[in-house]
Amino acid sequence: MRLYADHSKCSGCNACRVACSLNLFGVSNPKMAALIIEPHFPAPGVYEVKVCTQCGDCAKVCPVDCIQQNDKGAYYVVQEDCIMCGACVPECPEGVMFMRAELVPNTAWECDLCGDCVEVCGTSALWIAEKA
Amino acid sequence: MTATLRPIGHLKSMVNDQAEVTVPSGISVREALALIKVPSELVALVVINGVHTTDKDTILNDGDIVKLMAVIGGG
Amino acid sequence: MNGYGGTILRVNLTTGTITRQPTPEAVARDFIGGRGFGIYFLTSEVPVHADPLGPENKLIISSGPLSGMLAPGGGKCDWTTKSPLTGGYASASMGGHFTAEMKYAGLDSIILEGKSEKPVYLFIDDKKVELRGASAYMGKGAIDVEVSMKKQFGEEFQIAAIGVGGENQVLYASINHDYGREAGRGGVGAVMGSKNLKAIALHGTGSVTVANKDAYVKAGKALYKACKDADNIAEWTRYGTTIVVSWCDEVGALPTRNFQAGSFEGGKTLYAPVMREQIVITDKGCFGCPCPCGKYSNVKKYKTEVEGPEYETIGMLGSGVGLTDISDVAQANLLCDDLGIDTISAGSCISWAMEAFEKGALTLEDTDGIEMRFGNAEAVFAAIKKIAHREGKLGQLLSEGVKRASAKIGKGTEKYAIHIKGMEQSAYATHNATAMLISYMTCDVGAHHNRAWAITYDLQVGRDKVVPEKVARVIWLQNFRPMFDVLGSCRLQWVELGIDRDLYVPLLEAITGVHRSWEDMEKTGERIWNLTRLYWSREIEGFGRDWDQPSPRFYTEPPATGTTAGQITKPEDVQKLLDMYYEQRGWDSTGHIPPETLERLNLKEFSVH
Repeated sequence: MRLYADHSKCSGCNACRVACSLNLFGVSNPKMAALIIEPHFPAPGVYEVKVCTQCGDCAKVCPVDCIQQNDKGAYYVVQEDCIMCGACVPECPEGVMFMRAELVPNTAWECDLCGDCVEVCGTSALWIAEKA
Repeated sequence: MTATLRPIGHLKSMVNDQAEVTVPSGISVREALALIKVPSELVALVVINGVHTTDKDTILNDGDIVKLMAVIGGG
Repeated sequence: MNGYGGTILRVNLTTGTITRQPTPEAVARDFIGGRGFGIYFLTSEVPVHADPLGPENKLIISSGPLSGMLAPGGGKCDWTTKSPLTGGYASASMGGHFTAEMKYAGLDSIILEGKSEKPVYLFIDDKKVELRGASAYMGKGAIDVEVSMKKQFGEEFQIAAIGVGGENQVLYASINHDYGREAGRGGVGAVMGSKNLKAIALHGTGSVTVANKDAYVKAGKALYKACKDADNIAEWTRYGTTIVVSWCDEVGALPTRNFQAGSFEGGKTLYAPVMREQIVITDKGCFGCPCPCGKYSNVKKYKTEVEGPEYETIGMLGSGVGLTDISDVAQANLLCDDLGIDTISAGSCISWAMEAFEKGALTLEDTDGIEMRFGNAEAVFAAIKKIAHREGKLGQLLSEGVKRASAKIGKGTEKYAIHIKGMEQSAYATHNATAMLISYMTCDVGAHHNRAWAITYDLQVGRDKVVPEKVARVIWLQNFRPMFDVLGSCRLQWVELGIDRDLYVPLLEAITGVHRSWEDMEKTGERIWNLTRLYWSREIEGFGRDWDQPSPRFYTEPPATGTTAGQITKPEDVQKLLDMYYEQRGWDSTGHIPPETLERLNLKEFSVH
């Protein structure tokens, strides 16, 4: 299973990212979310959404094996084990493997497929389904 | 031969919160609204089988599903 | 304090001093946030009779407890000041993402004071706050500045900027943010321009503490669910506010040729489905909104992109000026946004000028050679540019607003300067629509519609009826609707989707730790409403009943065409509505708040002398 996004339905509202940061870190802070909304304005005037495809490339390179899979088969970072080496970040083909010490000093993070983003997305731009 | 009216949003409260009301086909949207005692001027949006129309004199055909929306709150 | 940024940021543009103060708990308790903070600081700190375009005026920018949170529509930012257009209270509500970023930067209000000698912009990156030289940006469009600054500082920065209109202190200059969201009305952009402040670049990386995290997430998700379950969310999102263009046309509320009528023969090509098909490409939303009303458009006719037009702009710069091509309206919208002037007031001034021109009260010399006739799109574009640049006789005349413009020209043009308290009336024609009429008459910033939108109510109860129930309804709406502005949230989720407003109560409590029912909030709303009334009284000599009068068009000139042809409210009924309003508000018959009402509302500390 993985998250999917339909760019054409994204309104740029960021509710998904608030829900995500609440799930991962217990705070309302879109900058600490595991998906990206990229506005392209004033032209062409659309939003691009980057989500984790659960490819596992991040997990493959983690030197301390702290990117595990949960019972949904989704990858997640075991926050207390992360050593902030940053090896995983460039591996992500979607750019949704995050490490920002100024925001979160002790761990990298990525999508654990909690589904809260889907729950709050008003335009149904997000959904969870089988990996293609 | 009937059509189905679906008042949505605030308009539902005007028909005792019924989600669906059946009316005979062959009449206009305006006449159908009069039948269910909803003043036609309160209906801001008419969607017939998924197609938006602003013409309340459109005649309803058998099997038409008509969504109706009022604007109570405004901008 | 849970739910708040925690800091009031004061920026003295005269001295360049930046001061941070903890947000006073008593102010948060009594005024909650957003618009509440705005009127509190305005009344407490701006000296009586301050020149709105002088250094003593302040521009107060406030977020609210719901801003930036898991709250549908937590994206509204309030801009409050003394209005250069009206001389009274101005509060403009701006969507987008700025208000959320304020919370993440730990800010509840940013108070801009004084006046900078040189053009500057305000740079805020968490606790790093600086005034930086803005000469490179002067003369640039507000949207251009946003693009430039995001490129320079990063996409995460939220930018609010004035255009040339604000630099030139056009009395209804606006402030642009997020490529087409505006702090539009009352001249907030002129005040910013008068302080020589071109833009604000804002970035915050913090998080907001809440009183009860689990209850907060539960309540927030419940609100999103209610919005998503609303049976009309798809229809609303598809069209946004443009959904009412056809309906307003049908019921006679669509401003037509400077409010000469309420139905427009050329209106069909402005209707929502036509617009959607011809130009709309993205449903663009403000922070946290599940039902994005923004209709971002690609206008092939002019090779431009613009957010909009939305209903008000279609009314004022479409049917109001006799334009039938939605692409022309979109282009007029873009010009206003980038040049930084309010589309509503601009439309009103231009349509007034067109009527005056067609009646011979304005000549080609007065209009710098522009044929100011209804339906002339090129004239609309040219006029907007002249207004923003205060250029030529037309630009100078119209940049002052329709009240001053008509006073200057005379020749009976005052009769069709459609304003109340000096603010141009927004896009609902009030011929024989008494609830909406009294709503406009008593709106606290002048003739603006969003405090008490009562048009359907007029139709439900009988549009010509002059009854206490209508007034009671308007008062209730005035106490209640602006509370969303106080919470830092949009109200359209409740207004348009019809969700249960009680769903906001547990959310607010879980965030702030303070329980407030809607009854409590309406009491705060009533108090705030009266404080804004008090503000007008102390600022304007002779303020009172005379200032609540509508344009005579709405009680002497029945439309010749359209749904409301031949219909008009009687002059005596206008006064009767006002009498009922004052009585129900607890005001005296001259429209002033008597001491006992000030006492009851605990407002005595704010009254002068």
